[in-house]
Amino acid sequence: MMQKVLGIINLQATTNNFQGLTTYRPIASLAYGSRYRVIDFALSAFSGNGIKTVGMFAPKPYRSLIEHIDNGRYWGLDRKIGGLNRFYQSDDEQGFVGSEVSHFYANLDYIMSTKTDDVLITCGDIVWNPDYQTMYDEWQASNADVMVVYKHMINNDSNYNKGTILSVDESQNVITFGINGGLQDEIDYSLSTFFMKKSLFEKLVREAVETTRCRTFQQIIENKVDELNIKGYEYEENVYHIRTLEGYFKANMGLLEPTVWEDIFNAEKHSIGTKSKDEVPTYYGEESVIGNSLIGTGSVIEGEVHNSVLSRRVIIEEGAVVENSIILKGCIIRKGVKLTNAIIDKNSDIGNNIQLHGNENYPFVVPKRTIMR
Amino acid sequence: MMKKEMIGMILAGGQGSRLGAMTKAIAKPAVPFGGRYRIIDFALSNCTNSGIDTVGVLTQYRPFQLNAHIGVGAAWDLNHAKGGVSMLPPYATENDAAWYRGTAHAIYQNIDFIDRYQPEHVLILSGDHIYKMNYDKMLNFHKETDADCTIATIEVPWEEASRFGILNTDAEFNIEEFDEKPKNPRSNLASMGIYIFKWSVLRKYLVSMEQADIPSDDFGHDVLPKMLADGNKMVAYPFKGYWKDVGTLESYWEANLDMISPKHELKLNDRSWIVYSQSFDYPPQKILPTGSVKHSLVVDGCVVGGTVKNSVLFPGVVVEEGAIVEDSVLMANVHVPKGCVIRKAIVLEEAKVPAYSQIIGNKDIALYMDESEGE
Repeated sequence: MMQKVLGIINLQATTNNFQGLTTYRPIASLAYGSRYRVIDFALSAFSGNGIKTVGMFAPKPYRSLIEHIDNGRYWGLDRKIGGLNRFYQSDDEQGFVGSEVSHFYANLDYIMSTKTDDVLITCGDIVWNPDYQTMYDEWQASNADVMVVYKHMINNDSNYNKGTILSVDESQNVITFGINGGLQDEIDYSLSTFFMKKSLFEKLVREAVETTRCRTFQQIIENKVDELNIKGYEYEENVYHIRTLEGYFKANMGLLEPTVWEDIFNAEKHSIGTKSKDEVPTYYGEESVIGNSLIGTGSVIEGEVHNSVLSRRVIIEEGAVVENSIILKGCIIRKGVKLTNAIIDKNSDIGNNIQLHGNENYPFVVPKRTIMR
Repeated sequence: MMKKEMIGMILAGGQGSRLGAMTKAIAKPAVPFGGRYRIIDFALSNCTNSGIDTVGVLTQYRPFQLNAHIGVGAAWDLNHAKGGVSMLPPYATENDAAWYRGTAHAIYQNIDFIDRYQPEHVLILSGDHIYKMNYDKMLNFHKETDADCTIATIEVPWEEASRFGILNTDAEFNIEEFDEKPKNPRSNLASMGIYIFKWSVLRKYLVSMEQADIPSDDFGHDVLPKMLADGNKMVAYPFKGYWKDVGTLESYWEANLDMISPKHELKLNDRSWIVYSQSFDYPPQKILPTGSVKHSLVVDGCVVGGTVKNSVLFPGVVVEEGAIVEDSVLMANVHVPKGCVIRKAIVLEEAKVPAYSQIIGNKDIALYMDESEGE
């Protein structure tokens, strides 16, 4: 049972602007996988694992999050007891803006007042379907102060450059934390997901604010690697921690692979909730040709779509061909358009016969509300 | 206590027995429709979109699915602290326990509920119809004409008029005569079973007719003719647009397939009049490399690896590679494995079709369900 666990979503400030995709929104509120926003996976993981008390800490820009998350009802987190509390960082936390740690510090009263004993802190930009219960049981059994979840991977994905990596000994004790500079062929990548006692969390945050210059929670843990007993937990299923535009592109395309789909959407696992938009069913026209694609509701597909992920209310006119692309909400792809390896941000209108071709690793991005003729 | 100008009462207790096995386990208003809706969604959404925030849903026949579907009404924005949606099944009092004997009797039994809101007017609806209608416009008409009762009507083709309850009116739409299924119709204005009453007037009739032991179970048969005979002002409200009462399996099937076209008269896609429904956390719809979908509606949770043509797929339908689905309606979570051919058929919710099955309708629509469903 995980009722005694406080879930914390720590939305780290975005430094990479994804060629404009994250100018107005954090990675967590990027549209993803045809009908979601990235943060749906973090919220669903909490509610799906029976965690009923959740605090979400968000730096700017957060307008799109406020709109999407509402009071948490789409994830069953609109509770009288516990439920989702949202902490949007304000400008008057002077001198500390952008600091996760001071944001926690400013809201320690809330954190300590929840009827919980333990803390599970994670970020809002991971796509996965984790079994927190199993992780929690393992942490409890280990008697470790902290357990951090990591993913072992081949180091060939630019998305994970400069990300936090760690090393563990044979009994899964974390020895070091570091930054992925590309030297190693294989890495243990930290998924920024930690289990610890709430009392320890409080102590770490207080100490950090009063005696160190740590701005991120990860830094606190890194500073304490010799002092605390930190265990690693290797996550074996498919997971995407979206850090770059290329990573976002790959994470979308990944859903088209059956093994990834199984790891994330298997009916035996928790379902992924999202805000309903009451869209009509998708219409597929007489001449439509579709293969290996995810399509959003409210869309009208008259043309050709292959290996692509389309959001809600996308119109693909006859004779248009979309390949290996992501098309976000409300776009119109007109007659004769050819798209490959493109990301079309929402409400854009791509005029007749325009051709846009990106590279698999460097998709062509069209910013939102672009009208191209 | 909380005064409302008008509240809605949706009659949702009917079985819809002409739909056969489809309504064996659920009431007709709960029958799935159009890929992601249940029939009652249209009336509920019309209420919300017309600004009505207090709705009673009168249930009787197999109400479980309806209760689960409507819940607290949040999907229709009807989860209000003051008003909102209330499920109103028959109930017992210290004196007796009575089933609803008819449309008017169901309202009579809920006079206390309606009185709580002290409405000027009461809107009586059927939960069986597929249409978009602005009840606020109808209310304005009702108020402008100062009618005691306003009945929504639609022009039907003359040759079909003898199947409907026809209203004969003067040029100002004042009702002069009710003509139930007339052999020789004098008008083609058919009643849609949608009424707005001045509540004070309707209340008086329901109570006095019950007390005087005058038959008053049914609006069309008992109460409306009596009100007209007594000289109340009753007017017909002319509605224009799509309106369908899917009475039979055939017309249900046809109405679903008609809905496929984005040019359908109902304009489901119009975001200024959204038809709301309960939503579920299905994954996105996925068309596999082997899949082909032509002139069809598909929704979240569907996985298509086979061939789908001129069909409506509800949430969670799986059509495996090598299966063929044509001219059919597959309700939620239907599984169609390889080798199946489904043509001119309706497959009911949750049905797991065995591999290599042939479910093919000819003159009649084929209806398929899992065996346990029909028991």
